[in-house]
Amino acid sequence: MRSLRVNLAQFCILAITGVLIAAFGVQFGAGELPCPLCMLQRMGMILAAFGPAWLLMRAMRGPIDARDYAQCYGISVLAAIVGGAVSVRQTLLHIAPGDPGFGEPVMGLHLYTWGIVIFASVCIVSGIQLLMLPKNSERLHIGIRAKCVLFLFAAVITVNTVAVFALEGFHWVIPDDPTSYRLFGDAP
Amino acid sequence: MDTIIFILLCSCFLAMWHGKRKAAGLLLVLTFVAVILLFNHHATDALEISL
Repeated sequence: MRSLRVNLAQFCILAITGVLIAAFGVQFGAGELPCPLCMLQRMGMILAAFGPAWLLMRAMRGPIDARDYAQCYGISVLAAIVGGAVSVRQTLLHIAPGDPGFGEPVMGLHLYTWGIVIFASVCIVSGIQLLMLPKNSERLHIGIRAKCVLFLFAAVITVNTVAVFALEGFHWVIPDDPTSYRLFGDAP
Repeated sequence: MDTIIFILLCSCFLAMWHGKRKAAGLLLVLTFVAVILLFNHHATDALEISL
């Protein structure tokens, strides 16, 4: 059961990191710059992955109990609610018949619609983890694989920070439909 | 604002990594508040455009 909890936590982080890397693929590969609501959904996904990430980091320092699990997965659920609200908002903006939507669809759905699926999945997985709370405090074995997952997640957050700074420049917010990286000069 | 939120996220991750629970908790709360405020800003903006 202990290894299942650790594996599930790693899976959550890895799945969200994978989605964020795919978003980089769309941004840098296909050249589609993210809109402000897309960026808010990325923030929601990172916050959702903070729950299991913090659980692994706490487990590296010593035994963890039910309170630690509840706090960490509580963060994920709250982040999923905030991120899900943003995804729903963006989906509703493009729900009218004939609206082509923002950006190109991936596997039939736009990225913000996938966002709803991802945030709902975060809620489901967090609920499953909370059903398996341990009765007593326990010491989890955090191996090299978990540390690699955390480093990959940290790298994705760092690259996102640099990318958003390039996109936003020294302005307060990202424009509604960005066409260039404002740090390297505003579009005419 | 987006850059500031991502810097908050980085700081929060570092605080978690170094085992600073109170600092990480405070940064998490700040990040959540900032994300909700930014969402409110953009949602109101889009509402004005649609009206």
